[in-house]
Amino acid sequence: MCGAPIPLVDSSIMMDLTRMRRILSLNEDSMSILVEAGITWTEVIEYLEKRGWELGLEGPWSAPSATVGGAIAVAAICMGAARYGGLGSQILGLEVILPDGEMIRTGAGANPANLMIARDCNGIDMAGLFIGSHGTLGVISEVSLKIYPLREMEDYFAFSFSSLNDAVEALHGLAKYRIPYDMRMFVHPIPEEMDGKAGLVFMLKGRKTEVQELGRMGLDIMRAARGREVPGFGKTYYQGRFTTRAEAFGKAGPGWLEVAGFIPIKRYPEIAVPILDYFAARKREIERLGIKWSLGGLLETNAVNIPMALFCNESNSEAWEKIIDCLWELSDLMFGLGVSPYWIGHLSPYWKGKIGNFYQVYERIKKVLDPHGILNAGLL
Amino acid sequence: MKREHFELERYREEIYHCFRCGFCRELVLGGAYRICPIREELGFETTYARGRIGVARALLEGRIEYSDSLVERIYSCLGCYNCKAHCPTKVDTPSVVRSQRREIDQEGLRKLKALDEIDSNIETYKNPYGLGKKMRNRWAEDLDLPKRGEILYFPGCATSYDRPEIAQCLVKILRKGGIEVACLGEEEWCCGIPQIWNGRFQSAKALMEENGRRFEEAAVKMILTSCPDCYNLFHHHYQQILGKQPFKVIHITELLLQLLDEGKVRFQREIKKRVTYHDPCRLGREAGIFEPPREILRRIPGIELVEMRRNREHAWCCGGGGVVNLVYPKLSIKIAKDRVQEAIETAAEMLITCCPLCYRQFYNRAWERGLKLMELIVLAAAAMGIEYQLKEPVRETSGKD
Repeated sequence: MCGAPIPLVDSSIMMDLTRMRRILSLNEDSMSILVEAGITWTEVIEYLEKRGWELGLEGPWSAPSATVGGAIAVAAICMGAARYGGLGSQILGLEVILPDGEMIRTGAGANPANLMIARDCNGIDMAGLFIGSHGTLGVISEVSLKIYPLREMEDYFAFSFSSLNDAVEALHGLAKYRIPYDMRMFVHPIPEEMDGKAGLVFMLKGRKTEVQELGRMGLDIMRAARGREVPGFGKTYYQGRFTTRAEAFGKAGPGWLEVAGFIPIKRYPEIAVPILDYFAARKREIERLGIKWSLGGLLETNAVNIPMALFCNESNSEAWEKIIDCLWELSDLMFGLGVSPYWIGHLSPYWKGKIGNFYQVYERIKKVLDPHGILNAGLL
Repeated sequence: MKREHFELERYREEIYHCFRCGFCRELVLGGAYRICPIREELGFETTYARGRIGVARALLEGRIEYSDSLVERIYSCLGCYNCKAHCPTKVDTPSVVRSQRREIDQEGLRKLKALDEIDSNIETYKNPYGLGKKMRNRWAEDLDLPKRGEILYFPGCATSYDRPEIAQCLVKILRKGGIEVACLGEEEWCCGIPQIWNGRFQSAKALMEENGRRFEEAAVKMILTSCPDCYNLFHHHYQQILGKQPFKVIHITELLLQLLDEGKVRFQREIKKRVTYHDPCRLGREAGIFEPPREILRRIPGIELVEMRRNREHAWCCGGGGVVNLVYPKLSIKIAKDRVQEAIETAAEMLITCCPLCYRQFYNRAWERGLKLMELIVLAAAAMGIEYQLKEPVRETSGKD
C-alpha cells in the first residue's frame, strides 16, 4: 500500500506467493508454528486462537491481506511492537530460495534433523540477513514463528494531551515500564473523538491479573503527564484498525507516499515540530491540491517510529508531483535530524548515498548471492 | 494514439479511490474468508478487484490497450459484489467491469462465441434462451392472470422458462393473501440484465424501453419480482439508464414477510427439515436483502435454519453471475461445487435459495452430493399447503414455438 514492494525498474515480475498458504506444523512443545510464506497473518492468528495460542506480533495493519513472508521481507512494524519490538524478534527460522535455486534453512533448522526452533545457531544469524531485505537476496518460502498461550484479556485506552511534549512524556513512561502491547500516537490529524495537540491510544493484553495491573500503572502514568482520558475510543480504534487508514484517507488518495523511521522516544518533538512547521508554511497550497497528510508515532519497545504519510488523488498530476516534492524535502528534513528509515522501498535510491558504507556492504553481499542481479533489481 | 475511454471515464473517481489494500483478495476475519471466487481459481492479480482496478487505471492512463486476452480477463468477473462489500473505500469494481465490457462491445473487440448466441437469441426471441413467447407463459396457463394492474409480477426469463414452479407458487401464495397481480405474459421481454453484463448496452436499453412502454400501458405502479437479477435491473439500472423509474420495485421475500406479519397468509404444514440458505449475490450484497428470506424460513414450522460458514455479506457466489457461466463454464461449475460443499458441511438436509440462476448452478452439484435443493418460494408454498404443477423446465425441451 505504501510502496515498499514496488518494483523499481521497468518490466519487473512480481511474485505472488499467496497460494503458498499452508500451515505446515503447530509445534506446541517448542512453542512455534511453521507456515508457508504466502499465508496471511490473520489466517495464522485465527488458526492459533482456535487452539489456545497466539502470535506475539499480529502482523502489519493490513494483516487480513498481508502475507507473513511479505511483511518479513520489508520488516514491517507490526501490531504488538510496543511489547515485542521488531518483526525479527518473533522469527525462529526461515526457509529461503536463493537466486540460483538453492534452498537454505536458517538457525536450528539448518540441521535437517531439527525443527526451526531457534535463530542463534551455527554462528551467524542467517535469518537476519533476509529480514527487511525487500526480496533482494532470496525468496522467503517458509517461516517459523514464536507462539504464546492465548491471552485471557485485552484492554484499551485513549488519552488526549494539550501539548506534544506531555504526550511524549506519557509515551516514554509507558515504554519504560513495558506496559502496552501496542501503542500509537496521533499528531496530525487528531481523531475527532480527541482534542488537544496530540493523542495516544494503547492496548494491553495478557493474563487477566497482569492486564489489570498494567492498566492501573498506565492510568497513573497518563494522569501524571496530564492526559485526558477519551472513554471508548481506544477500543473503537483498535477494533477498526484494519480499515481506519483507508477510510480516513482513501477518498483523498489513494496516492500514498511515506517516509518513516526510528528515533529515540524523547527526541520525537525535535522531528515532529519541524514537520508541522513545514506543512504550516504550505497550508494553502496543500489544501488547494486536496493533499492530506498524517504524522504519528508507533512505539517499538525502546524507540519510536515516526511515520509521515502524504495522500492525494493520483489522477491529479499536479497534486501527485507536489507530494513527490514534499516527500524528498521531508526525507531530507527527517534524515538530517537523525531519523533512520525502517523500510526503504522506493526511497532506497535516495537513502543509498547518505549512510556511509552500509549500502556498499549490502551490495557486496548481494553480489555474492545474486551475481546476475535478478531479485528486486534496482533497489540497490 | 491514446484511446478515449468514455465509459471508463465515468468511473475515474472510483478507480482512483482504490487503496490497494488487498482486502478484496482475502480478508481473513471471523472465519477465513476469501473474497473473490475467480481469483481463488485462476490465481492472478488481474482476476480480482485490486488488479481489475489496476487494469482500468492503466487503460485510462493509456499504458495498456484492450487485447484479446485482456478482454477475456474482463469477462471473467462474476459481478458478485463481494469485493465492494469488503472494500474500506467501497470501490464499485463490478460497475467498472461493466463499463469496460461496454467499451469492448462498442469497439467491436468482443470475440467470445459463447455470448454471441445470447445476443442473437435476445435479438430474435427477446430472451437469452432462444425460446418462443408461448413457452414463456406456459406456467400461467391455468392462472388467468390479468395483463393490466397496479402490481405487476415480472417473473423474468429464468423463472418463466427454467423454474416455472416459482412463478406458480408465488401467484398462488399472493392470492391466498388477497393480492392479485398482473403479468405481461407472452408480451414480457427479457429485463435486459444479461445484456448489461454482456456489455451490450443498447440492446439492454431497447429491452428496458419496450418493457417500460408496456408497464405504462398496463398502468403499473409496482413491479414485483422473484428473480434477484430482474429486481436489480428495475431497482438500480432502470433509473440509471432510462433516467426515470415510474414504479416501485419489491422482491417477493419482502412482500411475503409483510403478508406473514399482517396475518394475511400463514404456514399450515410442518416441514421438519434442517436447511441452510444461500444468499444470491444480487439479492444479498447488491440489493441488501439478507434477512427477509431467513425470517420466512424461521417461521415455517419444523424448519431448522443453519448458516453456512460464509453467509450474508460474506456469502460465496454460486459461480453463475456476470455471464461467467457462459464464458467459463467449467470454472463456474467449480465455484458452484465449492458452495454446495459448504452447504454440506452444515449437515443441512436441504439447500434453499431464491434465485433461479443460483438454483441452476446448484442443481446437478447438489443432486450429485445427495443434497436436496429447493426454492424458498416453493418451500413456502408447500408449507402453506399450496399445490402446484411441476412442469418440466422448457429449457430442456427442443424446438421453438
